[in-house]
Amino acid sequence: MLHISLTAEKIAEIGGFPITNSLFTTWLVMGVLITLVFLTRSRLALVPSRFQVVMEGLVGGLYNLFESVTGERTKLYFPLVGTLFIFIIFTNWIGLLPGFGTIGFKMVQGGKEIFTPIFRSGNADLNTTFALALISVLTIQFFGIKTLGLTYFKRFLNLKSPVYFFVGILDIVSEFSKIISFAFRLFGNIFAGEVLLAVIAFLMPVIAPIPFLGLEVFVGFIQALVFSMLTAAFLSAATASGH
Amino acid sequence: MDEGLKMVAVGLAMGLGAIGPGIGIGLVAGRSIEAIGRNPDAEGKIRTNMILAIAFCEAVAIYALVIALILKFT
Amino acid sequence: MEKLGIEPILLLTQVINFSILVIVLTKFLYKPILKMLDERKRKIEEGLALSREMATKKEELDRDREKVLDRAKNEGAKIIEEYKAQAKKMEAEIIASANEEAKRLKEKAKTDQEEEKKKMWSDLRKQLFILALEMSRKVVGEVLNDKAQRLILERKLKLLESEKRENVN
Repeated sequence: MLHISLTAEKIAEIGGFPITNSLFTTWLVMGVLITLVFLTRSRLALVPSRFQVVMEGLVGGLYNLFESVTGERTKLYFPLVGTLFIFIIFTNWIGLLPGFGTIGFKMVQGGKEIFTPIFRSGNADLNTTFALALISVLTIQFFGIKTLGLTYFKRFLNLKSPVYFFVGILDIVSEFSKIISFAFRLFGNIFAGEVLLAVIAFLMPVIAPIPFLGLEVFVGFIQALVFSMLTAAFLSAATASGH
Repeated sequence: MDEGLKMVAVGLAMGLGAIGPGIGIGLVAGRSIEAIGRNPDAEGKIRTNMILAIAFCEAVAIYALVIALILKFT
Repeated sequence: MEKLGIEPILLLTQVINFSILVIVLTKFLYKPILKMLDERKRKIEEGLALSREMATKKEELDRDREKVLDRAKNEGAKIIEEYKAQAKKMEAEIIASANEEAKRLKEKAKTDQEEEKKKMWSDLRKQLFILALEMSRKVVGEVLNDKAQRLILERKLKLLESEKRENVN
């Protein structure tokens, strides 16, 4: 029968610390990325190799992309938004590889045998997306306070007129809703993609999933772009003076 | 609580919640394409803003998704 | 929240994971690569500026060389002109002197010839005279005596003399 699980499944436990399949995949992605980074770093030269050209194209292209949103302050924000993009797109795409959600083992839980896949896309787990959303929104607040000082709070608490006061309360709510929408947008898209692929593969396993795989590749890219671009846009909005 | 009624509620929450964002995203994309057609030089800027606007529209559907998920799993 | 799969410990782990990733990527990927890109941009700009400079310098050099070549050509032409003129003058001189020489030689040849002719004429006359004398003596001697002989001879000589004068004149 079709295996759909909203939560990430625990595949191991070390001293009471649960290791879920999406956490495992996150570590996998981190390993791949860090390996790539050190491969690039060790052969960095003024006359680039092909591999270096690719990495330079990635980093330089991302930098230019975010420069069109955040302008001069890109240097400050790039570590966050760039890593967001790279991490999210790698996690999304790695979840499309064959074996994700299908390689697993049976685990006895509560007297029932439950299928547990070893791999699960990191972003199909609310823990990951919530972590990213929290980091993103907290960094936005941090840079807002750092740039504007105490005037940053004026947009949330304004006693000049009842209208502004109400707008301020709305702004406070919107800061929290940013976390929710960041986390659930990414989670929803990737999880829905996985469910869609699982359903299609269940109904017609041979040729039918191919167009949907292409769609999911596109969705994975768009979600990475949206997450990082929204963070960049919120960052430039939070650090802009005047309301 | 009736399990079947809950499922109906989940389906309705997600389905009705997707109407508004669907219309909104359609409008945004249509207007953006019109704008690109009128001013092809500004394509890059329009595309960026379009993606951001679509993301904001989508947020509404995401709230519906959250409600549906909470309804289904709690 | 629990049913949605959110567990604080996993959430924290993911936050830490992502923070590690941010630090590693920033330190070992973005900074070196952006620095490298900037440096390459600077190097390329430098190279371009250098090549522009070289191009202007080359143009200058070309112009200079052309100038020098032009001058050399002009000077060469002038020198050739001068030499040509000099050669022409010399030629004319040589021709003139040769003509003069030839004329002189011709004159000399002419006078020499005249003299020879004169001498020939006088020799001829002398011999003719002797021959005539001999002949007349032989022919007349048999018929006339000495006296008559002389008389006739003298008369004849007078005649000859007058004839000759006529001839010469």
